[in-house]
Amino acid sequence: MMIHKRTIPSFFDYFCFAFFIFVWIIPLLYMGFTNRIFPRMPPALSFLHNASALFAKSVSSWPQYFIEMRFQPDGPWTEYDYTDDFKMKPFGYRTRVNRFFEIFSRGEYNKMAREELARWIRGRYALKNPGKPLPIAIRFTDARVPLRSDGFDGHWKNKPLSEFSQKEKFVVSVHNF
Amino acid sequence: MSQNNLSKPKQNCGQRLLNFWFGPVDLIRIDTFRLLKGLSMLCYFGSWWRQGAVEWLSTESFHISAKANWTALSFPPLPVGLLPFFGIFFFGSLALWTLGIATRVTSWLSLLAVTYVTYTDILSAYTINKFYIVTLAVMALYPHGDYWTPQKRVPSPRSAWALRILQLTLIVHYFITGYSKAFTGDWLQNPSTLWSQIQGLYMTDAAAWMLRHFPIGVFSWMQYMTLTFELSAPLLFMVKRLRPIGMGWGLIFQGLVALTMHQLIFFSLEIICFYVLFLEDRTLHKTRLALKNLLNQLKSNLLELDNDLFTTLFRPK
Repeated sequence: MMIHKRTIPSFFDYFCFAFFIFVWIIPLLYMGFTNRIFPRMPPALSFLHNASALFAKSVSSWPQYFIEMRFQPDGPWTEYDYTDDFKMKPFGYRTRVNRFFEIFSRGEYNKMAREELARWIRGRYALKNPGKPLPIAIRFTDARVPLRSDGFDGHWKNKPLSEFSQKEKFVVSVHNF
Repeated sequence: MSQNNLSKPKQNCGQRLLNFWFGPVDLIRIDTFRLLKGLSMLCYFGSWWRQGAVEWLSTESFHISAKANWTALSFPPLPVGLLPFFGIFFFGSLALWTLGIATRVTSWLSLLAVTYVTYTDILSAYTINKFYIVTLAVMALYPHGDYWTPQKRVPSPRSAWALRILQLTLIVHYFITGYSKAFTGDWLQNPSTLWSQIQGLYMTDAAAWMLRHFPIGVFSWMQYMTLTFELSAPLLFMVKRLRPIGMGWGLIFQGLVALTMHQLIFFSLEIICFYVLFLEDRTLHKTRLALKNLLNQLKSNLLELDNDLFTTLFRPK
């Protein structure tokens, strides 16, 4: 086997190693141990470091998210079927909308994201129902499936909104138009 | 970690340390890792594409704007008409990189493509995407592609830094995952944590079967075995003699994750790729040469069959 002569290691090798230690390994450890973003790390990189705190806590219930619309000021809320708009199920039996609410359902700082989703859903409704009146309000609801000890007849299946009792439902936010 | 460096004899402690982290190593582990990682990426992203490329990456579906997205990095989705071209670019780059073709270019193209799809739609990006980005970033800066490639190259040793960073990634990931579960989470205090997690929206038919037939105690046992494995990963993977135990245990663990959690098979496959970095060079060379001989045997058998068929069909009467 012919061995090419090259300087091993070169300055570039040292540089790359230091780069990944300081930009990847150390922040990954920091986030893993403290559950906090590494100080002064750009958010786009911090996103990469949040990689290892998986399934760390027990849960008492599992969330399902629903979208409801209202067409009159005091009218009833009717469920909007978003299965046509969100067909992908990336990881688990859940759609991208479920994933959206896992990240953006809490806090005022996430309100802009929820507002964007509400506007997009309204736009989709308009496209699918040309000529019909548009909703004047959209509500996002978090419904909780409690833990159980039996009835495991197969993989996870989403429950319809009608099967949740009032105390199992929580309003995430309401968006008026 | 492995001691397969081409090391000089009689070095002092400092020199041995430097040699371990930066000394010359054979590329067989990195190239085998490249091949397996590339295949796992093609499977994962192929599955996402098949589920719905339009929803995943196009302007026709919902994507959060950069302003509303706390990652503060959000690439614009593509017009539907451009999707087929992007698909060719994306899967083409990944396939070429997997095959070790023009790795200096294809590793950068793959990195750009995977970064693009991750930050265009964070709603379908998970830990697996993050590890792919970091892996490709390491490989893009590191010359590789001597083995497992149709291109004829003369193998030459490289500095070990990339191998060590990738090995560290696996060890750190396992350890801090275990640490989070034990000390930030409640895996030590609550023996039913795994049981509660497994019946959620990841629950597969196999998980449902286990929940029907196994008492909660079995899940508690699995929970503590998982914690033990993850927290002892540094020892299991760094100490050469413990490595077979670590890998065997890890394969069972990752296999159970794949079996009980819907679509997490992709994550398990990605993590298992890292195990290759801890194997002996000679084991990988033997495997590579055995496969090469098998392929050559198959080729010559096919040629023989071809000739026989030709002779039979076109033999003068």
